[in-house]
Amino acid sequence: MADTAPTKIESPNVINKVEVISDRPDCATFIFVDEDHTLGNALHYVLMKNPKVDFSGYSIPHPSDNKMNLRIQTKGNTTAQDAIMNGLSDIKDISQSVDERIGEESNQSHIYSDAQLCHRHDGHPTNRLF
Amino acid sequence: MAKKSKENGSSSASNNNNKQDQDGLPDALLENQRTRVRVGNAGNENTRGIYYSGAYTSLGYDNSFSLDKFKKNFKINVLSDKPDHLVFEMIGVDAPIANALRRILISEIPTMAIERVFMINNTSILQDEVLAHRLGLIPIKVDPKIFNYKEPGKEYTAEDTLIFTLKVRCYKDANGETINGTVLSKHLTWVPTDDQNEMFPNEADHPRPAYDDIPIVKLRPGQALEVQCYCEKNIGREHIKWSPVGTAFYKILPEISVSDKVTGEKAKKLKQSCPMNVYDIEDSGKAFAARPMDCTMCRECIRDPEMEPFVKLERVRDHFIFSIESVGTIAPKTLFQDAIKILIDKCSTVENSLNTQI
Amino acid sequence: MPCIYICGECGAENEIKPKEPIKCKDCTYRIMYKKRTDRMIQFEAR
Repeated sequence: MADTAPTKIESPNVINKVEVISDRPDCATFIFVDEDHTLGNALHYVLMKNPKVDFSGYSIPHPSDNKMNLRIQTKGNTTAQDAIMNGLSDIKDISQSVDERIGEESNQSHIYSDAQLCHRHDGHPTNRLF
Repeated sequence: MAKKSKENGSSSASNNNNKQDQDGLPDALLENQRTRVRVGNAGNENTRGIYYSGAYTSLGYDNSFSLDKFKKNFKINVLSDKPDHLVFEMIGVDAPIANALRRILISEIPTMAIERVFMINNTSILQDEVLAHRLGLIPIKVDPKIFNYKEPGKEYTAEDTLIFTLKVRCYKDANGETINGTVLSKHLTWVPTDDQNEMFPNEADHPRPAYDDIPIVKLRPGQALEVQCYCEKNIGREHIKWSPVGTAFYKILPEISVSDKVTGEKAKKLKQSCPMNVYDIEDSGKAFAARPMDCTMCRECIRDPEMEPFVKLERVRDHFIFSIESVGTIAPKTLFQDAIKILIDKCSTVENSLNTQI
Repeated sequence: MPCIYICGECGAENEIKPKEPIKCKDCTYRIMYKKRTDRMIQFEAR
């Protein structure tokens, strides 16, 4: 058996998460470590939706590298740094309101929680929806 | 304004003028392209969403992100709720966000799973490595939040490992009946280490397999199994045995419009052509899509080129039907909330990293 | 460490040394199975 040591899961406050390559304030390439389409595409999306962003694009240059590149070019008076910070807080805002809504929904109409998770196999009736 | 007059000119196609001004594009065709994915015989059209903030500036529509607008449009509606399977509609988000949550559900929510297996005895017909693999895939029901990730190369501690033993012997009893012919997941017994008993004061919270009746191996009389299993915490990206979901997926809401001209024989033909039985016929003889949710977009109804102009198959771009099927360890609702938290944490991590560099 | 084989016919345990014929001492049956080690073996559950 090959000795596949489990890859270390980064702690939330890791410093080397992002490397910034930029020689002008309005353009930058951000190199993310251990991130993929999950954050890449979501960030690209909110950046495109930002009127101050001229261009945004992301790529994963090689599937074996755990790197994700994000390119941002901004219009005039904002910097690429500001744009990405804005984008991150937009994703957080969206997530927060999705979380609120699912919370409200489960208060109004009951949604099964962990306590009611049945642990014995009782057969699942097929779902007409799918 | 020039835009206003243009809007009035094309408003014959749309029903409400003021509403269009706020929520969509004035041009009905462009609005359809913005909000719908078209499914036709030749292929799909408008599959890619247009997210650029200034894409519709010339039409007087602001395509940029606004939290207020998002909150106003966003809706969640539960369609089906079972202890381990949740189906809900998520309306008003775009694919990149829905997809991020889906990806996190599958591969980034931590769980506990058997990682190291110590074989003391195995005289069953299953090879040691196959047995170890099967043990790894058994979902372990325990709250993963109270455990740490195990650091590679370090000793096992009570905070990062759970130990289960599996000691089963198959034999024939006095009546000639085979006992323990099938080793089941319920035979796995939890061995608390150090002060793990205090970590789980309630009997109900004790670590155990999510289901009691998962077959592990079949034994014949005389065969025996003695195994020690060490569980570790990790995420689905490392190995799917740590994935908390069987499936987490979404589909985009199908929208089917049938022309008024589809009546009589044509309506009957349409109803019969659908393998999912989506269509019904009104008393007036007109066909209509009664169960669009059942549509699988097989295009059987428009395969006949004569029918294609009369049936419009579309999907609503920002209307997702999200299905989360838990593996049995964490409830789907909790998983979805965890996924949101993880996405927020991801953003915070990047923010922290960028802030330390300035 | 003696190398023990189990007879495929009668199940008797045989110790077979190098150059000895592969044959059960009890029943002369020639199909033998190697006995499992009593050491513990570690596996990765993947």
